[in-house]
Formats: sequence, structure tokens, C-alpha cells
Amino acid sequence: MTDDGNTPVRTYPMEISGYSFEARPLTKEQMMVVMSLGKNINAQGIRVMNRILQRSMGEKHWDAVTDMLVDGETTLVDVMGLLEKIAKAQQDDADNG
Amino acid sequence: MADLLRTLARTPFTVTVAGRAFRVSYRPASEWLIELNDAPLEVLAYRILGEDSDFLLRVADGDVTHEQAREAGPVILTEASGYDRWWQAYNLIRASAQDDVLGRMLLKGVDPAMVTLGQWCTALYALAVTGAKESDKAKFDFQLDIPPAGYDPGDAWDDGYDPMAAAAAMPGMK
Repeated sequence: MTDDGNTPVRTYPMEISGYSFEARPLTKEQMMVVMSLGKNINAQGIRVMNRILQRSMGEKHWDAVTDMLVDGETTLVDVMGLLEKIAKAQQDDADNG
Repeated sequence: MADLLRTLARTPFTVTVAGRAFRVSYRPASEWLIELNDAPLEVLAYRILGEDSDFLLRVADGDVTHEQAREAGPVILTEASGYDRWWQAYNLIRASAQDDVLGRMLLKGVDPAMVTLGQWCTALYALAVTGAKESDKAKFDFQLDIPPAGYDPGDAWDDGYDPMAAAAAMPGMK
């Protein structure tokens, strides 16, 4: 995947309830937001999570996951976990150079 | 040290970040102790301002940078504690979670759920220095006046404080 056809963008393979996709890295600001959300997520937190995942996954995959949520094929806790998994994969990647 | 009247305030305050004012409601010392012992100071604004506003959305959208959010932490702490030298309040808050400090404060009748953050800090300071030798008090003051790593209060750090006088009062420094 590339941003502008030239610069390669590192992506992270992710899976949620059997659905696989490539997640784009989060910005530093988004990483901090994920860190601050914690486990007790309120309505505002869900809006934020929605926004960040939409950007990281891309519209198509985010639509698919929200459909899964509506159909009961995945849960909000799993989606929240997904955000943490992306942040962790990115952090591990940074730690390993 | 602190503006004693400001330490008593139980009123909401606003913090402006990236040109936008965010309201912070009153919360007792216990909540601040939990927040600041649970996560680094640089996360404080995300947690406090993000609780009941669109602050986190603005961060996620890139309208507020991490640096702006990070710098809002000391502003929040100053307003919440009444300590212009916010790092002193920060150090007292961090000390609250150590050893028997909380127990000693409770035995003295100071319940962090019932007092403001500023009251908690002034009470803790009084507990720490009451009966202490002048040299021990000076050492405590010196340690209290060290900002957390990564934060430089700039000119505010030098305002009205004489580190040489404090150092001279310490054992082995005379």
C-alpha cells in the first residue's frame, strides 16, 4: 500500500471475528487517544474509536466490521480490542526498529 | 508555594487548547490522585478534557496536536491544585501513593475524597515538614521543586525560589 504511489506505508495484518484486513498505522495523537481511552469506554469514546478505526482500516473494511457489529457477529469489546491490537503492533514495530 | 485561597476552590474551570476552551468540572483530590498515579502527566489532558467533550475527536482528527495536549497537562494541574508551581503539586500527588503516606493522612483525618486537590497537597506538605529539622525541610523543599522528566517550566521555575539557599541548608552542602 502506498500513500502517493511512491512512499510505502507500513501496514499491520489484523483479524476480528474471522474477518481479515490490513490496518494502517495510527498517528502519534491517535496512539495517545487509544492509550487514554482505557477499558471503560463511554459514548464519546465510541465516537472516537469509530473515527480512528475508520481511518486505519479504510471505509470498506470499517463498513464490513460495523455490519458485523449490527448482525451480532462481533462485539464492541472485540472492536475496542482491535484498536489496542493495532496500537500494540505499531508499538512493537517501533521497538524493533 | 500555593495560593491558599485558590486551593480551597471547588468551582469548574476552563482550559484553552488549540484555541478552544474546555470546561473541567470539580473533582475531589482522590480522583486526581488516581488519574496522576495511573498514567503519565502527558496523558492527563486526554483523560480529563476527553471525558465529556469532543476533545479526543479533535485530537484524532489532527486539530489538536500531541504537543498541545501534553502542554495542557500542567495548565490543568495548576488550575485544579491552585499551585502556580504545579510541579510541586505533582510531586506531592506522586508521593501520596508511596509507602504509608495515604494511611498517615487518613489517620490525621484527611480523606482525599472529601478535600480539594490543593487542600490535600497543603495538608500533605504540612504533615511532611511538621517537626522536621530545618535541613530535612530544606531537602524536602528541594526535591519537591524538581519538575517531572520532560517538562521545563522555564522562567516560572526560577520565580521566587533560591535553590542555592535550599542547597546550603542541606547536610553536607555547607
